[in-house]
Amino acid sequence: MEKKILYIYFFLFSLFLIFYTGIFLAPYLYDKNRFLSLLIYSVYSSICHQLPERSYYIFNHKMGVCARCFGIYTGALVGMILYPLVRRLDNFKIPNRYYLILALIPMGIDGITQLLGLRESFNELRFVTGFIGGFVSIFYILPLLLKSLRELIKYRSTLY
Amino acid sequence: MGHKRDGMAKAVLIGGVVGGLLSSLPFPTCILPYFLSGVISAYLMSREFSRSNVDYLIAGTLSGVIAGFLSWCLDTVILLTAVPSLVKTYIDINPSMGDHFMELVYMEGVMAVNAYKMNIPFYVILGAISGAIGGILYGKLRR
Repeated sequence: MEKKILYIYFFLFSLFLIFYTGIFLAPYLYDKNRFLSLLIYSVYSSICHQLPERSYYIFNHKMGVCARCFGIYTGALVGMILYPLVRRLDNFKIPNRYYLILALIPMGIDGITQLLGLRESFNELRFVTGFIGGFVSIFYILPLLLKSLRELIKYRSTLY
Repeated sequence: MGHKRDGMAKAVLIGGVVGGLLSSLPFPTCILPYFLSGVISAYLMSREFSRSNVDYLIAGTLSGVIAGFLSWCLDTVILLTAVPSLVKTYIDINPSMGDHFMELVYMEGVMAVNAYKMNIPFYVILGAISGAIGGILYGKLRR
């Protein structure tokens, strides 16, 4: 296996780990450094609604993202850790697209029925449906990112 | 070549604007609009020319950047208009609270606004990453 692919994988994994840590850091810092905590909350506010009733609480404050997003990112993190154990990093072939659609259906149904006001979901269901979606998505996103970034690096090296 | 570049710029712009506007709507859509910005730009590009993974990645990233920037502008405007009225409403609801408490509430609001104004790089970076993922995912899955 190319060493470059391994480096790209570790780079992506480190970035994601920093992103994931921030979800816990925002509530942790709330009583210690209010401004930094609000800054971290505002970073996540760009990608999550952060509604209090749809969020988990830790360190007596709500997490940086809602329960569904937390599920998605936890699933993605678990997927990223497991990925090199179940597949070769230089195998860029993605699974059949219908598995991805199947994995996103529970989250879609839960989210859309709630958005339309047909029913109200609960945090455990939001987390589980998000986890399934995030976990399966990573088996599509990671090989594509690895391949594209490798192509991008090759493309750049031909330019200079 | 120039024609292709024009087509790409148009696709990126449309994807970015749609994503930025959608992300500022008052619906709990989370990261979806940024993905969508990448998907839209990739779709518009693929209609005109045959593209490689890198093209989809670049177009998705750029449209995500535009979506992130636009979303930040709109969110900041909304926040700047909403915070003073929210604080006023809060004080109106709780007239028994002392001045000190009102000051605290106001300080919290100002702090939140300042934190918000500082986070533009994160909006753009997160938008770019999500847009890139949306773009290449669309490019791959449509084949």
